[in-house]
This record gives sequence, C-alpha cells and structure tokens, in this order.
Amino acid sequence: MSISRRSLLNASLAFTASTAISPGLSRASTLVAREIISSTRLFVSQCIAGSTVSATFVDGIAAGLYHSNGQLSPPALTPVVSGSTFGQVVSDLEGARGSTVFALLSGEDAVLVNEGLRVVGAKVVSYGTHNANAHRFVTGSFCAGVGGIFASSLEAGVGNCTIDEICLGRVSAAPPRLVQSGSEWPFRLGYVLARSMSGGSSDVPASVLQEGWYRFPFDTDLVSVVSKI
Amino acid sequence: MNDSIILPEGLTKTAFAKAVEAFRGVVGADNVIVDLDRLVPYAKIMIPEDEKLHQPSAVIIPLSVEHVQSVVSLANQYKTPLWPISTGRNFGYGSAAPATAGQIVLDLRRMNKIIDVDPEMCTALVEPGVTYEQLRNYIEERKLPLWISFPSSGPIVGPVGNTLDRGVGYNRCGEHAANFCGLEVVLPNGELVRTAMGGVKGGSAWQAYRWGYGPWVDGLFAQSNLGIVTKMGLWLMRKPSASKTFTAVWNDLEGAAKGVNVLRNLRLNNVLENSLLGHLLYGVACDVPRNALYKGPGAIPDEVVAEIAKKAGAGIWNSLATLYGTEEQIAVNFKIVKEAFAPTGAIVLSEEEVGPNPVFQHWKGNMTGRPDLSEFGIYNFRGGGGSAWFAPLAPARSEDFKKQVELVKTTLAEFGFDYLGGFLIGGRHMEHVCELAFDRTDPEEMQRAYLCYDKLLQVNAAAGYAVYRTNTAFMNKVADIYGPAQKNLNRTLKRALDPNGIIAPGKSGIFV
Repeated sequence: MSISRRSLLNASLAFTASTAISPGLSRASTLVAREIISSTRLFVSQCIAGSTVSATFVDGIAAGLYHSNGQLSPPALTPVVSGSTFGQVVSDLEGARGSTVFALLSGEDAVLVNEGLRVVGAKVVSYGTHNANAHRFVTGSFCAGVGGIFASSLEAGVGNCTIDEICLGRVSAAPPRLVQSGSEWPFRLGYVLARSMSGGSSDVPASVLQEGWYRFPFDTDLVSVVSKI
Repeated sequence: MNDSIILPEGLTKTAFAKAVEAFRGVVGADNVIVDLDRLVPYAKIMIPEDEKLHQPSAVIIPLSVEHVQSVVSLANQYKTPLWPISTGRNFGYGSAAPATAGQIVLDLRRMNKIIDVDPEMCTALVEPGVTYEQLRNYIEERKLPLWISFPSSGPIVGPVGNTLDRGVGYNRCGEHAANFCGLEVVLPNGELVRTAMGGVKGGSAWQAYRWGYGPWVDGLFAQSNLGIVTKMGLWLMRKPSASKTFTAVWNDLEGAAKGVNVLRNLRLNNVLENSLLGHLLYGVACDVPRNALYKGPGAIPDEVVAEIAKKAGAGIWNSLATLYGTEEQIAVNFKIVKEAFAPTGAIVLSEEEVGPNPVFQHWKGNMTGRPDLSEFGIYNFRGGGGSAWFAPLAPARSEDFKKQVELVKTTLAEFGFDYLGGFLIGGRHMEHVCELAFDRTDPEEMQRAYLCYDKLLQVNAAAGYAVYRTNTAFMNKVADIYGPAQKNLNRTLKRALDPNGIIAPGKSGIFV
C-alpha cells in the first residue's frame, strides 16, 4: 500500500560523544549527567530540510556534542529520505534503537513521530513546541528542567519570549518564564538539548555564535523531540 | 518507580507498587510502564489543557483477552482505574491520555489480529489494535473485492476505537456506529460476553445479524465505560464495478444551504450514499500555513477567504460525493444529481472537469478506499500543536445549516479563531465538524481556546444543539447538556456493572 505524504529526513550524526564537560564553559546551569550518548540520530522534517532553521538546529546539536568532547568535529547532515508512511516512520525509529534521537519536526510530522515513539516504547526526554515568541516543553523524569536551562541560555535583548515546561515528574509545574530573546533559538535549542543529554553547562560559548545568520529571527512553528530508543 | 509519579486517586504508593507488580505478573515486566520518560508519549495531548491534568500513572499493554480479564480482575482488587485505548490516536479528542490524572492506560495495540474477513458476506472480525491501514493491506494482499470505510486520520487509527467513539467515514458504510456487527466485551467483573448472535454456540451469524435476542446491548459499550471491547465485527463495502466522484460548488451561504436539502434528499432516495459539504478554509489549512494567508489580528476575515478562493479558483463551499454502481447506474444517478443541484446555483464538476487537484483526489480516496494522511497538514496551519474538534449534531436542513455556521463561526471569531469546518451529511442528520486550531505554547491562547470551546457548547445548547462526541476536557459538561435523566441512567448502569469504578472513570461524564 502506498500512502503518499510529505516525508521526513532521517540523517545519522556519524560520530560519538561522551559526557565530558568542556573545561572552557562556565556559569549558569550545570546539568545532571544522563546516560552516556554512544550514538545519535537526527530526524528533520522534509519541509524544513536544508532551511536555515534546521541547519542552525543541527549546528547547535553538533556544537553541544562537540563541547562535551572536544575531539569531535561537527557532523554533516546527510539526508536520507524516508518516512513516506507511518510504517516507515516506525521503521526509521526502530532503526535508531540504541541511539539518542534528536528531531526537529513540523507539527504534522510531530504527531506521527510521537505515535511512533509510543509504538517502539521509546523514552521521551523532552518534547518541545517552538516558535519565535514561545517555547513549551513536556518532560518526563528530566525535572532539572530543559525549559529553564534553555531560558538561561538565550541571549538578552531581542524581544520577549515565553518559555514554559510541564514536567510529569514534578508535582507542580513551574510558572512560565519570560526572557528577552526570540532569535537564535534553533541553534541554542540544539545546543541545550545536546548538552542536556550529555551533562554539563548550557552556556553557549561566544566563539560558536560568530556567524551572523544564527541571529536571524526565525518564525517557523516547530517541534523538537529528544528520545532514547 | 519515580517518587513523583501521579498515583490513582485514593491509592498509596505502596498499594500502587503492589498493583504494578501484580500486573507485571500477568503481562510481563516490559509491558507495564511506570517510567516517566516512557509515559510522555501517552501524556502528549492537543486539547486546551495541561498534560498534567491527564497524566497516566502507568500503562499496561496486554496481548490477549485472558490478559485483559486478569488485569481487570486485579484492577478490582487493587482499585486501580483503567483507561482502555485501542490505538490511542483520538487526536483533538484527548489522544491516548485518560480523562483524569492517575488512571492506568490499558493500551490494546498488541491485540492486533485480523481474525476473519469474509469477502462474500462483506464482513470482518478484528481486535482493537488493528489499524485501518493494516486491514486495507490485508484486503489488498488477498485481492479481495472490498473497500473499508475510515475517518480522515485513516491509516493510523483503528476501526474499533473509531467506531466506539462514533467516528465517521466516507463510503457506503461511513456511519461506523451503524456498520459494526457483534462485540466481544470484557465486563468490569472480568466476565467475557459476546453480544448479538455471538452467544450462540457453533453459530456463524455473529457478523451477519446485529440484533440477536432480547435487549440490544451493544450501544452500552460505545462512548461508555461499562466494558472493554476486545473484538468487533465490521461491515465492509463490496467494491463496486464503477464509481464517480464529483463536486458541487457554491460561493454563497444561501446556495450551499439549498444544497444541504438537496444532499439530504439524494441520500434519502439512495441516489447518494455519502456526502460532505466543506468550507474552503479547511481544505486550504491542510496545505498552507496560516501566516502565509493572513497576518492581521483576529480570525481570517471573509474578504480574505474570498480572495483566497478567487486565487485558487475554488468555491467557498464545496460538496463532494461519490456515486457507486455500474457505469449505467452511475450515468443515470449523475443526471439526477445535476438536475437536483441546478436550482441551487451550484456548479457541478466531475473529476475530468476539476482536473488534477490534490484536495479532490484526497476526498476521492477517502470515498474509494484509499486512505492518506494529507489532512494532518492542518497541524502545520496555526502551529503550536493545539487541536480540539468541535462537532455539533443537527438535522440536515437548510435553516439548521445556516444557524450552525453563524453560531460556530461567530463564536470562534469572538475568541480570535478561524472557522475550519465542514458538514458530513447523513440521511436525516449532519455532523458539523470544526477544528479549533490553537497554539499550545501560548498559555493565554490555550486558555482562550478552552473558553471558546466552552462558549461554543453553551451557545449551541441554548439553540438546541449538542456535540455528538467530545474531548476529555469537556466530557462532564457535555453530559450535563444531555440532561440529568440521561446522566442518572448512565450512573445507575455504571454502579450496577462497575461498582468499583474500574473502567475509564469520567468517560462521557460517567462516574460511579
């Protein structure tokens, strides 16, 4: 049976990272180290593949993982078309078993990927919904707070941005936090999510923010997922 | 077990831990989930409430009817409420999450056997985890001359869950609640019952005759919490030798309203066996993000919608239907259809006249057994992951059509939301199905969406209308609209069959 729909891109970040904390980083949130990341996979929706928003998210993940282990080079996105049916989405996720999965998805694809993660019995560390003005995270056991860490990481001075987090493992939810930034969120999100998974500071070193295009004010509505399958 | 897990109401952590161990003894340790990270996909909802209000305490994934019976028995012993789901993809109605926090989700997806498909009788018997895609693949692989009826979320949802929630499809068997035949149910006391002819030992009419003998009880298990359906008989459509999908288009509400009467009469005369009447913006919203259409304040104004229609060369109101039969029957019926629509001012177009059009092809697929997921594009429209379906039920009359559009569209606009709706027109009734798309990242907008849905219920109730189905945030309020007598009857039944309140407390507003 062939069901045509917009596809996901499934790209493998072909490298490994450790939980080491880069000595060059300081201040702000120190994350609770989670399980060691031995391999990572990246899923990006077809409709944003190759766009600035997905490229900066991927760069953010690469930088986050790199700063967890200075020996690693930032990975290249090697797109592999897949996911033309829900069965293929599940198959892709099955293929990522044993990996930490980072995903940046359209709202449409996020629905399918969430269902796929349920089918394969994945652990979902963070499920974030994003746009330029607001970010909302749902987390399970990770009550150190991806949302709070992300808020801390955002740079001041580029407009208002609300960050909210619902943690299933916390009795009461923290109130939404307002920070002064709407830009750079894909890069910083990628960075924070990668660092969250490997433990360490979430401060983004100035050296990785030299490129002007990181400061482009993205207005795309997207969903991020971090999962261990 | 995480210290912060939300427990079933009234249970201590120790008692819950004992229950979990007991459940694990039945279905295996891997099939009882209490890990919070694995619970996240079960807690992810789209309705306008926080996840924590619907957070399950655990998930149990049985493999067999015997597992379900044992789990129900233990649930009675430990007083742990169970929220059964078949595939759990009731998007915009609460997804897989329970009505209240702390319930244990009973995920039946591993019970996914297609037990029988009879091409002569046009019937099937399936378990709750079977999806429409799975059933269609089964039929295709065996080259059986059958079509299935499925909702717009077709491939990934399942016939048992959709039918029990009175979902709607688009072919001859589109009214799913009228096209199932025979249930197997685990009752709240753990007993197993087969309804209708299923109680006759050695009989073979279980999927042939709905009514059996004595009171017809099947309806007790739809939109209810009086049992767990573990098998369902389905009626399928025999694949016709020919079919013809067409559209009738109006640019004004008056014309479309006249069209409602025509569609009803064509259905009552069995010329048409399916029909829908959709507003342009719903179709557009499945393909184009909102910010590409409109960046101003409030709901998208009618003038902008008219401009979109002009650019797209489409009508504001678009009816789609498919004729089935032989070429000769279709030719006669299409002539009847065109003559019937002529006084309404409709432009009636066949597939050839429409030309290549993805929206037309999607609906044609829905009406001819080819599901796709293109309507999931609606989740890219507003962004932010919020979705709540509002679906009032009305008689299929012109005046009710106009009243419904006015009531719903005005109320949505009052709260700044767009009208993304359409009507599924049956013989005598119509479901007015509207998507309330909102941004869950914005707490103010989520609250506004909740208040909007609440007001939609109120203004419809004041005008004599009510939804035929609702999401887990509003089940109690909708039960109130249907009146205290029905609520008391439902409670009486609940107390009689499920005195411990084990099965899905709060479903359809029914508690012990």
